[in-house]
Amino acid sequence: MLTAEDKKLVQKVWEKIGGCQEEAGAETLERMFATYPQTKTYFPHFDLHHGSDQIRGHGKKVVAALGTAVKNLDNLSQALSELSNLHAYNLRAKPCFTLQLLAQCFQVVLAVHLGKDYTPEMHAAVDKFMSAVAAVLAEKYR
Amino acid sequence: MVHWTAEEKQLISSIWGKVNVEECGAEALARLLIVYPWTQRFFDNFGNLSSPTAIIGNPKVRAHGKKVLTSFGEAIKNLENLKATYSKLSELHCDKLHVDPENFRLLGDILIIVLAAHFGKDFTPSCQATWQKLVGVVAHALAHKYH
Repeated sequence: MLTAEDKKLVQKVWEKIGGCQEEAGAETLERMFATYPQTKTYFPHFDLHHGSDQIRGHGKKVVAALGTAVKNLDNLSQALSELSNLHAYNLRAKPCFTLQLLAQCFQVVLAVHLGKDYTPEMHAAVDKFMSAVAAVLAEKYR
Repeated sequence: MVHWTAEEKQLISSIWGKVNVEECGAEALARLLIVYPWTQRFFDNFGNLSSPTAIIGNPKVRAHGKKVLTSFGEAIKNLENLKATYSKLSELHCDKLHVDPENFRLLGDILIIVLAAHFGKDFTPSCQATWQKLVGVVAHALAHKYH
């Protein structure tokens, strides 16, 4: 699904947000909760206020997982296997669609931070990457 | 009927007031054709769409992008009455253009990303939430006359 060129672009984007990956995670979640309130239903135990430690902590986890995916673009299924199990059996977030909402917000964060540098080619590659990640995470649902 | 708070209306107009409709429209349409290449099926007569560079430089893409976003501006002027505003356009997209309404959602999401790239941090989470609601409502109005 991801061409060699796509993989290079995804890695490039990842480098470009090098220093602020953690903030990117928190911001992605914050945008997701603001824009798609239904996603809050998966976090009833969280303090969802702006700047909450839990959002920061969880955003960090999400970005770390995406980082793992970026480092293992040739083998996403195996690299994300544990997470796939978690989402399917424990978290049971409605697959594909909910992750699409996260993906949209992540793309917005990238666009906010990279501005003009977030080229259409990067946008396309990241969109494909996020779809691939969502597909792997949905693998074990049924 | 969709309800808009005063804050939402303010967030919409403050962003819209600073949008260059021609540039933004061109970019949004170009990105749609690049990120979701299957949408090119609706633009067979647009000439060269063979690469991102070709798409971005294509004058028909630019012109049509401007047209689409100008129409979006009409929606913003008629927030209380979107279905009526888009009634004819909806029929056109169904009966003549045969566009799956799912594509309106895709274009909406792309527009959000273009705005985010353009406005940076000024495109706050509240802005995004309001604008995602707007593009969703516009997409819904455009799909309303489908049969």
